[in-house]
Amino acid sequence: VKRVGLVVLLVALAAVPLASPAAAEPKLEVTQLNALAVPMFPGQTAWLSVAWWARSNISNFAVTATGTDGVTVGYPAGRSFSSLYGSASLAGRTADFTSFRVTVPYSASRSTTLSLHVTWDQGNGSKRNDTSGKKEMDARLTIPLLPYFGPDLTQRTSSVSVSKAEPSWVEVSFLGRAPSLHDFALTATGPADLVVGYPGDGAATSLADGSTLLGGATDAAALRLDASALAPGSYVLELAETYTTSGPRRATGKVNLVVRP
Amino acid sequence: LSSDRDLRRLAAFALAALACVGVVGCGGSSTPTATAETATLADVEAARLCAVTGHAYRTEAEIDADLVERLADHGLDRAQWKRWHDSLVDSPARAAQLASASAGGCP
Repeated sequence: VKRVGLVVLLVALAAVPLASPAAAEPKLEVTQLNALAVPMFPGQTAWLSVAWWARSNISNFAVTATGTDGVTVGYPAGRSFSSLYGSASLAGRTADFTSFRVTVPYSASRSTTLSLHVTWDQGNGSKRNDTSGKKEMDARLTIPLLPYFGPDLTQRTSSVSVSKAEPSWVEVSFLGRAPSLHDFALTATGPADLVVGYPGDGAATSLADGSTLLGGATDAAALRLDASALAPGSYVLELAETYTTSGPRRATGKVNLVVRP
Repeated sequence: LSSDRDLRRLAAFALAALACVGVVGCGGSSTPTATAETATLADVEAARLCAVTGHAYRTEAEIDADLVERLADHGLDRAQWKRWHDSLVDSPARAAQLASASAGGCP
């Protein structure tokens, strides 16, 4: 109950409404409307946004963000900066937002702050060729961090089916629940006469999109099953998963295996 | 007028009309005009700005999907939104509509 109360309190504190520039119009040419982001979990990757308001038309708006303590930042479309959502221009007395892909390591705690560097040109840029020199400012975005309590992953496949006639690949799907799972590997064991194979003739299988499973994402691990020595019927396939969150983890599961004639 | 939204829209039109003062041919030149549709786009954009800054999205595509969904709720699409957004820097009337829609801040 204390943990739930803490989470509710922190979320409430973080849910600061976006400032309204109209209430007291800022004197600055560009004003950051939210210096506090929504909370994240250590280990999480998410797209966060910062809103900006311009006093008059501006163009070529660009923001770079720098994290500390292992926090990394990515930008839309693989660029080296982020601009505004609608375009690189912002009409006077309106607002738009910039988004970043922020990855917080499991080692982070409490809160983290991104340093933002913002540049722009006054006026409509190339449209009217009336820029008056590059402008810049520095800003910060604080990201509260909440501890994650809950399951690491959910197995979504409960049954697989193979033909006795020939070996075949089956997939076992997982939903990431923890902020992120890394180095995911899965092995399976079944009845004595079942032959289990893995991609690349390896000793284990991982996920189709790699060995990392982000919270909220679904991915599947492939197994090659040779049931030629089994009689048609139902069996149990025992699964063992290893992965890393804030440390090494193990999990187990079961899948119903149906062997068809 | 039966709702706060109607009142806000009326205020947006009034501001837009004021913004037209001094703009040559506000209703008939190449300067994009403010209409009921651009007022709706301004409302959608203002609400979206609040939502986006108050949410951590798992993927970049979810940000786009949020916009498309909000537009679809009003019978609009992304191409209309993009044309409107690109017109803001050239249209004080439309910018005034957006400023008015955002004037209350976020809930």
